[in-house]
Amino acid sequence: MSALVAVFAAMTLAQANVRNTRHNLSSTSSNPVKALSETQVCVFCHIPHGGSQSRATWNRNLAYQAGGTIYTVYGSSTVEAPPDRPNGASRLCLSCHDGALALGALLNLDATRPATVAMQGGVTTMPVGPRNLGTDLRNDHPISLPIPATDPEIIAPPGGDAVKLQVGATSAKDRVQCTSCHDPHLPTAKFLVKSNLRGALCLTCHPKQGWLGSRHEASLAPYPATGSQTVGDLGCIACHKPHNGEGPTKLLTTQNLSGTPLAWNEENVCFSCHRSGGTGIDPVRSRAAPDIQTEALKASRHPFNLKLDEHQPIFTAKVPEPEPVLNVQKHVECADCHNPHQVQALPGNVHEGSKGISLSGAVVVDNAGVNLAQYEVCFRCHGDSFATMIAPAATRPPGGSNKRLEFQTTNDAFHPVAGPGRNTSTYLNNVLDSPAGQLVGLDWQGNRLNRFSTVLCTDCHNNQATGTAGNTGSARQSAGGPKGPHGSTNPRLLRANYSTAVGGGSAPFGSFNANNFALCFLCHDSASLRGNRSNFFQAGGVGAGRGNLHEVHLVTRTNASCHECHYNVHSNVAATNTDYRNVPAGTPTHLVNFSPNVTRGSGNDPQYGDSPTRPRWGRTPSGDYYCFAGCHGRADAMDGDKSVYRPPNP
Amino acid sequence: MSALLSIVSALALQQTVVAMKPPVIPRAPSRLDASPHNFFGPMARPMSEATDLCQLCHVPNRLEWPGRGPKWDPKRPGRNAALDVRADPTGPPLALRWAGSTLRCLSCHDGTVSSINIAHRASSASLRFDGNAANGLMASGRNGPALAYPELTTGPVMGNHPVSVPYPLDHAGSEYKGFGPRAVPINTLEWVPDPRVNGLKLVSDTSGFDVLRGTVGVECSSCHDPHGTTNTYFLRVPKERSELCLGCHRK
Repeated sequence: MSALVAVFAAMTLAQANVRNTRHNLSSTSSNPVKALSETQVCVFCHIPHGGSQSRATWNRNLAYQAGGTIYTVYGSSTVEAPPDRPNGASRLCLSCHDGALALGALLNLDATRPATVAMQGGVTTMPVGPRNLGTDLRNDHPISLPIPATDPEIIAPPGGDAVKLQVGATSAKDRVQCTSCHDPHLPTAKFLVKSNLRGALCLTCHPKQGWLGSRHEASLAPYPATGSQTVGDLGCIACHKPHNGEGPTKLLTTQNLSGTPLAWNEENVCFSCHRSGGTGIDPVRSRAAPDIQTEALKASRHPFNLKLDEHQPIFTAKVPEPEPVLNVQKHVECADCHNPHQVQALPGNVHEGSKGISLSGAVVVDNAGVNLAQYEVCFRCHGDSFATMIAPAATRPPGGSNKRLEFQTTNDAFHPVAGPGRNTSTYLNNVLDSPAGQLVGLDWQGNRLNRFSTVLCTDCHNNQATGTAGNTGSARQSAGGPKGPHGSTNPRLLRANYSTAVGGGSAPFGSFNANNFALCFLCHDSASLRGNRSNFFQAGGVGAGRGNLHEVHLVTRTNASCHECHYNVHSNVAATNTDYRNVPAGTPTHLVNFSPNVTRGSGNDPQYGDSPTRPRWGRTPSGDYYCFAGCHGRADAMDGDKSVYRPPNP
Repeated sequence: MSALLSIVSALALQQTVVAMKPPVIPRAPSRLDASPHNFFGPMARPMSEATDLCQLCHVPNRLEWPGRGPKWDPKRPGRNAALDVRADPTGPPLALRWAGSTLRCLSCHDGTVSSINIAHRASSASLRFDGNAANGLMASGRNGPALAYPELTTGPVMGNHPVSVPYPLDHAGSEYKGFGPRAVPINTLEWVPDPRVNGLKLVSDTSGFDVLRGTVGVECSSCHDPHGTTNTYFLRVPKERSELCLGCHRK
């Protein structure tokens, strides 16, 4: 009885062997590629006597590979340990899988040296397809490379793991070889030594920090959209292809499982999922992968598509900041802002595991102890290196500006990105958090907007879908999306309309239209601004006593636009067309800086008797605020003391 | 019980053989006659000293003549060191000391010893055979049965299945001919527990008949039966469908 059991067990085991794999090239197999009449299985690779000078008594003449010079090896700007030319066990695999040597070309067969086994269907070398890697191995996972000692995200497989480095006392020792992931005898899918479900195989050597629990790892969205396998199930191979990847390096794929493969383009790796219908609906989140591809096609966008080459991922330590600009056609890639191995969905940190530049100009890396602020990511390109990072564009102010300097909290005026603003007057509160309830906005952290709030770059620069009517306050609080500064139908990637046209008595400035400044009015309540509730106020007895001067400028008199007096709303640092007079250091300048179309006042300044070369804003000798600009020289405008105002609570 | 009986009867038989001088008697053709190891040709009958197939390898009654011992004499290991199996070209030899029955095979098949050099014959003149090298050595290379190939003359002779190496009988680590158990755990999925059930042979380190786990190894005779089989190349198991290889290797 026990003998019977043993025989049965042996039979069962006999089924699970190399005979049941694609590597059974014998005529007795049912594989599409097999020999005409040879019934031996092992002989296609091994021969007990007369094999080549290698391990495993290899039955194929490896002389054509001498030195491995026929191969072009993997290379990447981020590779930690450059691979050698193929050596060790990998050479054996390549003797079929490089497509150079006929499958039946053996060193020895029944004492015939060399021998050629005829294959069915006239097959000679490995048929063209994903299994034929060719001799150009740049789009294949590197082989014959040691494990770098310096990178915590590339480690040797633990002892006893199915994934193994090559053993033996040679130059190929302790290196990753084909056999690290594939066992050529194993009747598993792709001969993998263990399942790669949820990236288990890859993660053996690539313990990507922050991967577990990241949005991509945790995703339950079906991919392909109509399939049952989720993005998280696919793991690494949703974006990476260890062999014959479409990308030139980093083994990236644009396979687009939900449709026809996309052309190679770095952003198309992401757009394989992040497009309309890219994935199915994640049942927990009730949404599919955000459609960023549509955003990237909008009139105003971060320029994803300008260049076909890759950018260094933001999450590699290999690239210094600022990243060297390699070409004149400036562009941005998804990986410049997002680390796909760690990214979290909003309201989590979409820049988890990314890199940025701090307010002080230091490189900061997001990790377990450091939460990167959004503006720090923006400063990578829009900070000190803006002049080289950002191409001149018609929509960009001439010369641009260094936003890192713009948002220093020591500046006299700035939008409160890196810290609360300078203007802490209650009148600002009136505008931001309207007691009358006209505007109920929350900041990005969910608090009522107030004079101490901070804002995100994306509170102004965002998808226009986040700035439609009713979506007041921070864009983070908007129902619209997908969020983020990917693209907008509004110029300058703005979340809502912000007209810079100059009033001329005709549309759109024939009369006041709140929509011209819809962007500003998402946070600054237009009703409060135009009522007697702002600092720009000329009380009775001061100047012409016209009350709320915002109302005067925007509506009743000139139909000015916001940007004529607040030309650069980031800060006053780069103001080139404003002469600040008698403004004590450290006092708020209320983001007053004149647009280039505002001219200097004619004649002498009645307050100081001099003749400034630029439009002037500042304090009179007695401490009141005043303007001296070309506007007020016009016949219908005020001049002299009429331009003086006294904020009730500066 | 039956094993005990057979041992007893074998002892009795041996005593009979020792007591009797072997007579020259006609005998029926054997597998050896039909094999390439019949160097006298298929028509050599009846058996005599001149046509005794066994004497080419075996000395009757384990008799040895001082100074005229077989070329595979372990006391003269230098004559048998041509075959060198290594894990890879730059690594250390897997087996420096040849031992066991493999030594006897290599006395001809290493290509350095005269193909026929019979120890106890009165004349030591070598027999010559068609197709063998003019120097009387076993032909190597194309069609030759010697294990040294001319295209592989530089460096160690590799590309041969290792011999004189331990086998993990019943998945137990084995020490054989001075080679200890592998440092890494034996991957039991890779080895047939007992290849003998598949018609292959394991060899005991103590040269006894008992093959005990922990002290067994693989020699030439594990796959080849030099006395002839019904298969090609003296194989104990047909190579067709790779039955032979898969008899040990669970691949």
